[in-house]
Amino acid sequence: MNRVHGAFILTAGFLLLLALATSTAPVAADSVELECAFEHPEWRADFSASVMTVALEEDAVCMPDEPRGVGVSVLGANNAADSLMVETSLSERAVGKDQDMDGDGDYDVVDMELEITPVGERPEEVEAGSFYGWGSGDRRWLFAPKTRGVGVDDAAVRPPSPTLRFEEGGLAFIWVENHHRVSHEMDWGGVTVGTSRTPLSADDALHPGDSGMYTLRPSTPGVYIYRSTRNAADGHMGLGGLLIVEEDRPENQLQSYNVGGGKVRAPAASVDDAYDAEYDLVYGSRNHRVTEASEVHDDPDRVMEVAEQEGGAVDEHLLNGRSYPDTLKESLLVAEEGDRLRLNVGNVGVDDVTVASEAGDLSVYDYGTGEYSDVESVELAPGDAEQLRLKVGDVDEPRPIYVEEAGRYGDDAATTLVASPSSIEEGLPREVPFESSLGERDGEGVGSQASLFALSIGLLLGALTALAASVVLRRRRSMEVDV
Amino acid sequence: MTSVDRVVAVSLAAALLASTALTASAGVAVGFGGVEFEGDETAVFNENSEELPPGCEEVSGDADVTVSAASAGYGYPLFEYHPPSVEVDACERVTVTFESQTRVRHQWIVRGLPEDTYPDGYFGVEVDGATEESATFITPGEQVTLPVESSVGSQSESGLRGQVKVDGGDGDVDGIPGLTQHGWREADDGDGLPGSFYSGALGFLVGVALVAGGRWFDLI
Repeated sequence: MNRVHGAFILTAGFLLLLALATSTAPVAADSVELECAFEHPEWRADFSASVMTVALEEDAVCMPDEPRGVGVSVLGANNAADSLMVETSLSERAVGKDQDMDGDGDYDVVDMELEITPVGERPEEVEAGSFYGWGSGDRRWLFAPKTRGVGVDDAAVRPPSPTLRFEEGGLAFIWVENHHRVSHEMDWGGVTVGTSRTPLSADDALHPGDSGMYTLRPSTPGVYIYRSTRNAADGHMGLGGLLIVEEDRPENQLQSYNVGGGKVRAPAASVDDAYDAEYDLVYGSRNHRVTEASEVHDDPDRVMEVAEQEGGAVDEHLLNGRSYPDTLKESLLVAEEGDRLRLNVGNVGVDDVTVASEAGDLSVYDYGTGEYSDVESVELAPGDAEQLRLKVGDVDEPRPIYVEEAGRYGDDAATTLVASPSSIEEGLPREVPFESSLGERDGEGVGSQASLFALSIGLLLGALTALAASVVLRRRRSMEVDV
Repeated sequence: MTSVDRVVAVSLAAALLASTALTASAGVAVGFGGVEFEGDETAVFNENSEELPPGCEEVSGDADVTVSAASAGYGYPLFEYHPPSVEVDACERVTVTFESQTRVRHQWIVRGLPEDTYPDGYFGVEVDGATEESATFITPGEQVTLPVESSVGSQSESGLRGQVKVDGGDGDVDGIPGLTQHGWREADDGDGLPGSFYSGALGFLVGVALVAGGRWFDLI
């Protein structure tokens, strides 16, 4: 053995360690049918002929929105039949609609109440009725339609925050109640906020237990973001959602809440005219340290401390609160070749995302000119939102809509699929079926995570330290021999 | 501007003014934007004034209890129950009047009740805004302390915790502001070093081992 052999062994060891650290450990075959355990398959049906007087489109995903809740979101709780309200956990104050101010056959004044709430698993000790367990179990923070009852009903309260829809020229009175133990502050993303806003604190914050009313005058159609920008943890924990102002049309009944994002089951009149279906895609980010801090610490100051330490660091991107393949449960896009889909995309996280598609041709809608511009991808900084059109290509083999940053965070980051009904019956792939390789999609490749960097630096430092120690020892020995 | 536009503009302005005035006069969120809600919303969960829980042969008596949820200022606690602890007899029919002194939704949920009598083992009252609601339940036939909480948002973690002591109870519930807790809970596993520290340390040790091994066997 000589120094060349030694250097070879050292290099091989380094590469082995690097390979172990960078492996993403895919666990399944290319195409395995995903299981769907959902107790309400009847929710997927076309409810056009139902007694709700609201036509809801079919939603073929595993976990569609609860149709009666969607009906209440369209009608307003004050106009919905008691039988409809009984079936939902929505409060009567979740949404109310009244006053056809422009006489075009639809309500123009919308009242809403949102609750800022954490969601996560509560300690088992609490549910079991014994003593309180540690921490809150917060996994995500969100704005939720006001609900009633004990516990959290996933049908009405689940990440991300619901997409809110208003009509151009209308009025919206939105109460926001902060049930969270952290102070927050509303940012309505550029939508005109009236002067009658009445937050309770002098510093514009919604402190825990506070409620404030915001009067929105949605005068310009577009796709916006509403979110809290009070503290460093808000973006990490996903406290934001899409706010869409639809063009004023006659008899334009809007779905005021789209809980969980995904398909809009009661699209606006302008969408019906120009598209075959509409989807809300809310991109977010997650930092595991901040999430962990929120899970185990009651003290909000401790959570803020960790969030400020982490800054803009991101461990993964999320689409509608999930990673692939969980995104397929609710955010799968079902379409045939040639369909035109309206995609409302927005970024409520702390990191840029670049949305791209292998499912067809993307274009961005310019609300100012009314024109579409073909694009390869769309970059969204935190707080950005756009309306996209997807002209669906051949999706008999499901094709992905993904974020290019997947190269850094793994193929499952914020990806969903566009699939034809027949391909869904054949089973959806457990792994993302990319046409292009990872390297071609993203030049950065894998390996920029903090732990990998630390591992490499540690390895080099360790090797250098041992080498230096070895050299010192040999010199001492040679000096001893000389003496 | 056409006449139609003027009519629309005037209507918009009138609606805004009317709604704003209504909001100011209402104070709480009742009809704040022109939609007339029926009033403050309340709810009752698993009310029971008839069925005897296990261990009870008859109702031992009737009692009325009033509990309120109030803001306690910023910091900890954010909210608290007054009183946080309620003393009752076994098999007693208790009518609880729960009132809120804040503008947001609160609950008074008693957990740990016999599931044979109370589905999922709880009874509770919910009030939304500054209002009150009453409901009745029959206490268990044993000496026990039952935890009370609000499941809305993180209100429980923020101080809305209490207890119902039946026949003197069998201890105190942990985490009640002023009784058994005096600040935010401290997590026992939140001070760990970041994962990157351990990765770096692992890399360092492996690097030392590789070089030391190489020198030991005279490979380097």
